[in-house]
Amino acid sequence: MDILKTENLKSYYILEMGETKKEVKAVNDVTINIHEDEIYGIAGESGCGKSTFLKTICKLVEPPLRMIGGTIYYQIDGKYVEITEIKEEDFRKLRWKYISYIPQGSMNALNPIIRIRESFKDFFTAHQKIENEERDFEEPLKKHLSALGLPVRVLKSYPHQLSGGMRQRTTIALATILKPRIIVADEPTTALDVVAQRAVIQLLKDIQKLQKNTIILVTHDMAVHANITDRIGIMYAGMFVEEARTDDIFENPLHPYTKFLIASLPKMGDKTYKPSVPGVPPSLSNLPPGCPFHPRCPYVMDICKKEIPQLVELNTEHKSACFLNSKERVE
Amino acid sequence: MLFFKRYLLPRIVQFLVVVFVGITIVFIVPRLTPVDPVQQVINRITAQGAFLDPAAVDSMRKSLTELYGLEGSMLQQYFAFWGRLFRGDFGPSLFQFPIPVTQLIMTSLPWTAGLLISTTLISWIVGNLLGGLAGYFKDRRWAKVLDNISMVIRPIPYYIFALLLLILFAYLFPIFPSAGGYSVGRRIGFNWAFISDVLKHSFLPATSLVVLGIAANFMTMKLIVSNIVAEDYVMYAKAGGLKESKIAFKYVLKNGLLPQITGLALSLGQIFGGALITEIVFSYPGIGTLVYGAINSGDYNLIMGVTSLSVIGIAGATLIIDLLYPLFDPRIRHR
Repeated sequence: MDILKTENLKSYYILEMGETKKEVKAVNDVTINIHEDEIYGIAGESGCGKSTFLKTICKLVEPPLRMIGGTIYYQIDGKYVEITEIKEEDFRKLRWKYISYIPQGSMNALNPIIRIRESFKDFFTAHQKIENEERDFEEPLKKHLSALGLPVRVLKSYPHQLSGGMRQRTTIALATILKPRIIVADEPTTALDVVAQRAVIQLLKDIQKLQKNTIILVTHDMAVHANITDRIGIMYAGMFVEEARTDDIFENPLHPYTKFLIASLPKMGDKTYKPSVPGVPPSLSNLPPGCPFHPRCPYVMDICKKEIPQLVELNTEHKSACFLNSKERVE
Repeated sequence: MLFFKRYLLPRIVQFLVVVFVGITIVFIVPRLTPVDPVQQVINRITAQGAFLDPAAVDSMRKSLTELYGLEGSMLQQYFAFWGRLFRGDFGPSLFQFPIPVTQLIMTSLPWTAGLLISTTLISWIVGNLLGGLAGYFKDRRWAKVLDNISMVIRPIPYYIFALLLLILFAYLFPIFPSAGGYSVGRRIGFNWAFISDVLKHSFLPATSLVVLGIAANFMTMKLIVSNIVAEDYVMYAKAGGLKESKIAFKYVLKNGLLPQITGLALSLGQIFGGALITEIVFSYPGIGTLVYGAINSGDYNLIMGVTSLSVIGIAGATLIIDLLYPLFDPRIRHR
């Protein structure tokens, strides 16, 4: 069963500068389904709308970002609930218990002037009453930290006293303390060295195994995806252009953009030249007509310049939004 | 001990150096002005029509110079000045001779301190609180109204605003007295009649300072907060479903106040310098009026007294805030 699904989701940054109004189409008509108990990866280059997509599904939309259209459903106790219809105060109660968010660059996600324990307490008391300090808060907190392999002494520290990797892991521990059903992680490994990256990835894996929840993980590091995710969605210019099981994507990419992406990955022993995608990504405020990838696509056809290809299922659980693929099917 | 050596000592040395350099400049600058206090007094006497023969003028100049502590070379005067300073003596006032400068300052200081400490604190607290909340809830109606009001008030030059208040509430609608610290003829004492009289007199000067002070603090704080709400930890707290009030106070305001604390300490340190324009406009008997008169009459000793106090005040405030700051911001350490 799906835990979260979106239909034709659109969120734009609307920038008004005097007379001129600029629309940045950061999430443009996205329809995806995310299953229960899986790690779903989202990949794509910088500025393709990955973070905006996450913010939108977490209802963290603030001007100039605006949700223009579409629907977002959470599955709560077997029923699909449209979250834009939930009142802000009721949604506040869903946060952290149902969906939690690990922000991009979460090195600075902790209030710098309070101790970590205080941060944990703030997040905890926002959702649960503490009647007995020791039983209701200290106990479960220490249990949670040791389950994640974090030393209890971090609680006494201020954020600046921890290393970057430690801070990141603390943030993740904080995001998972109430065992949320969905964890949304926006580039949790960016700005960390590989050793710390590994620790963070392992932590996310462990949490998922332990709590059986869904992780939506955004990163442009394909190695991280290969290592941890069950399924991957590839984003390009605000749209999902391909979605498949992780091994499928790496072995048999269908969309030309994904092909370039996978071909660019270095392999052990392979010393051949890695070609990059020609051209530059389009401006989200001024998308080309038709398929947004067509100006860079070596297989471009006439239809690509006029119509936007839809994300269609080609093989089992393998979807692609490219006329090249769908045409082969049709004919 | 390590704390003393590594943290306290350098700051105290810095404090002493600032005070030393400041007071040295205070000593030199009045001596560079063309106003000669001895000549001032002689001019005053001759202007009253008295005839003095040149020999008498010469001997008078000599005795006045001696009296004022102006004899000898600059260097000798300088050392004599420091010597007196360590005994807490700024010498006699040259213009209101022979009243000691310290006595003049002590009479004026309570007026200025009372006015400035209360207005500085009120405008800091109210301005920052409103500015912080308006910055956090920037799309609310009340926040926009407050923003517009402060945008109108803030650019008004202080003296115009003060004069406007004076004309409106002391002349056109004579609700408040137009000048002084208390009614002429009232005896100074600790009783309600005197206190209410003082409050009534200080109401307009205080209002002028508080209104502009709130507007200034409001706008600075709103700007600081508009940066802080974009910080990751505020976003994270929102994603975590923390209550708005908690985010506003504990996550946004508390962090936003850090730079403002320094500002508060500096403005409290400036109290010894008086509020020059306020005191002149409202004829308020404080340090500002005192120093204004001193500058006009070339009263070296009084100028030096007030300015030295001001130097010590600001350097002292900086020192204190340096020592206290780690209490507010754990990232700053006593290293």
